[in-house]
Amino acid sequence: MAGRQLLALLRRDLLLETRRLQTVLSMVIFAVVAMVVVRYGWSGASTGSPGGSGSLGGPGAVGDAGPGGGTVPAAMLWVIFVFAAMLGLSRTFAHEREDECLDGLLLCPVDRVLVFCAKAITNLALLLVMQVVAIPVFGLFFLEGSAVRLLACTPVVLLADIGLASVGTLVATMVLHARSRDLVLPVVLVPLLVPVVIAATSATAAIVDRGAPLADVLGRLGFLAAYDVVFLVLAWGTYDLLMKD
Amino acid sequence: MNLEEAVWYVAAAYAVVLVALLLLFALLARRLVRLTQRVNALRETDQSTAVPDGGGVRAAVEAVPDGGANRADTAAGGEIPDPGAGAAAASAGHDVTAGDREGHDDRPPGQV
Amino acid sequence: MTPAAARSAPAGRPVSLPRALVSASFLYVWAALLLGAGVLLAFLVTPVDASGLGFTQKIFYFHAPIAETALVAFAVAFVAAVLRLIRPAAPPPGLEVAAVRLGLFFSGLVMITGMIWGRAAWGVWWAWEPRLTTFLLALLVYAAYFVVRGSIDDEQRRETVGSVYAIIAFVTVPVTFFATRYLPDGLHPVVITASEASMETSMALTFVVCTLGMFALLAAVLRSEIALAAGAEALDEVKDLLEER
Repeated sequence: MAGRQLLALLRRDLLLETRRLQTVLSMVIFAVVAMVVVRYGWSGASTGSPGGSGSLGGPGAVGDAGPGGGTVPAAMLWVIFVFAAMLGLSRTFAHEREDECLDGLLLCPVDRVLVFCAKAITNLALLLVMQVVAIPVFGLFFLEGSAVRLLACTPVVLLADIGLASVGTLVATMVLHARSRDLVLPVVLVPLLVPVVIAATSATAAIVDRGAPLADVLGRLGFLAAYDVVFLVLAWGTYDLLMKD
Repeated sequence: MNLEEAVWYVAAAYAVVLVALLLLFALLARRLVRLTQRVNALRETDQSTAVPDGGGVRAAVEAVPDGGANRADTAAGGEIPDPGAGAAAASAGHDVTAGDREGHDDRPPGQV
Repeated sequence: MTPAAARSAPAGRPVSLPRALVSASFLYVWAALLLGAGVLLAFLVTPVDASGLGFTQKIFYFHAPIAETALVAFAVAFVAAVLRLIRPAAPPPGLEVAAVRLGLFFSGLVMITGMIWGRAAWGVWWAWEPRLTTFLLALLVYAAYFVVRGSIDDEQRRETVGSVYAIIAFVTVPVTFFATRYLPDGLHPVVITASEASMETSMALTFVVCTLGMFALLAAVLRSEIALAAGAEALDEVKDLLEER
């Protein structure tokens, strides 16, 4: 019964997103443009002239000198993902607000937690679609030769995405009735996501930069999984209160 | 790092803590003073309405500064008592004020 | 607020301000005595640290207790929030907000004293070592608490969302602490000798005295804050009653 309700809610949200690809397209475009900006900004800074020598200019590949070695491109990747995620998350309840369907949603005789699940899964889907495009682009721009290792990052990406989506949906619900919502959402969300970014960045850097096997990053994967579980449990416990009339 | 420099750093750290604590107390004291001011203002309002005048009570009470940002709505939706009820209000107001002066506060608040 | 004013308050709403203040001042006296004793012990009794830190180690006697007090304050906020969500009448009104505010205050102090100590001991004002980073993040996350509260107009909803956020925020702190252990090496060599297990007796005693003093201070200020909140609430009720007359 709950499964059917969840599927119904999920279908509704996904339908809304696929009808006009506004949200997911914006996220993809933002991610790619941000990477271009970073790439040019980098080569401009390190070689002293934009474009420098060769194709897209000098250093910028993972493993090159940057303050912190190979972690910097990985950090860039995850920062870009966080901001792209925020674009999508701020639209979580946009339909309910703009078309005033929130009461209709609240009147549905479903457990409020299922609403959370549907929204979170939708956000997760948006993130994954965005990353399917953005990660190869990242490999193209920043990694030369070690791009294949990105495939090995899949577990990291999946676990981190679950964290992004669940915390993001939770916070989006918290600011649902807030004034200056666009201002509050990033301010509240980004600090909460820092643990995810830290773990994901260090795991990605380890895999891509040093070619570490998955066994090496198990600790970080475990941390991400624990983070996901903690926040999913929190969401499950508190969502009823947040969605009260 | 020689001892003298170290002493300066340590002194700086402790001084920062001290100053911060003093600031904390100053802020607390300021809130207490403001609370007391509000209480006094309200007491004056209460006693000045010995000859009750519907509009006057309301205006005087609303002139008392409100509690700050946490009060989402301050308008009590009641009507200004019409002159017909003025007589009843007069005696009741008188009673309450007199009771106040004696320090008896066992009169239920709803009694008018 | 004079006792006379308290006595002539309307029936049914006794103002507990005088009584609360008395017990709070008891705690203040304790705090002053303990902290004063701690300072005296720190500078007159304890030996200068034998390891590299030397005289600057004396900052530890305030820095560490303040850090603990900040975490205790956040824990108090967490408990108050949980109580409010489970049994709305249970926690004293204003406790949660006051606890978060004080936690922020003590966290800020940890940052400042930590930076001073860092400058003295390592020669740098900032280092990405676990404790400073954790407190920075706690600071940001809990600062956002007030952003969230400030953006919601409806009182009931503000309290609920605030409580949920206080719970989420508290979970983040230990989570972040474990995450920062995975930061890539080589960013900054970090050694904190503060929590050596083998502290000399006089040092341990001073540390305990200062810790208790800070806890007493926290308790005292929290009591005062609760009393102030209760007084303000009583005043608002009186004002409402008068307006209805």
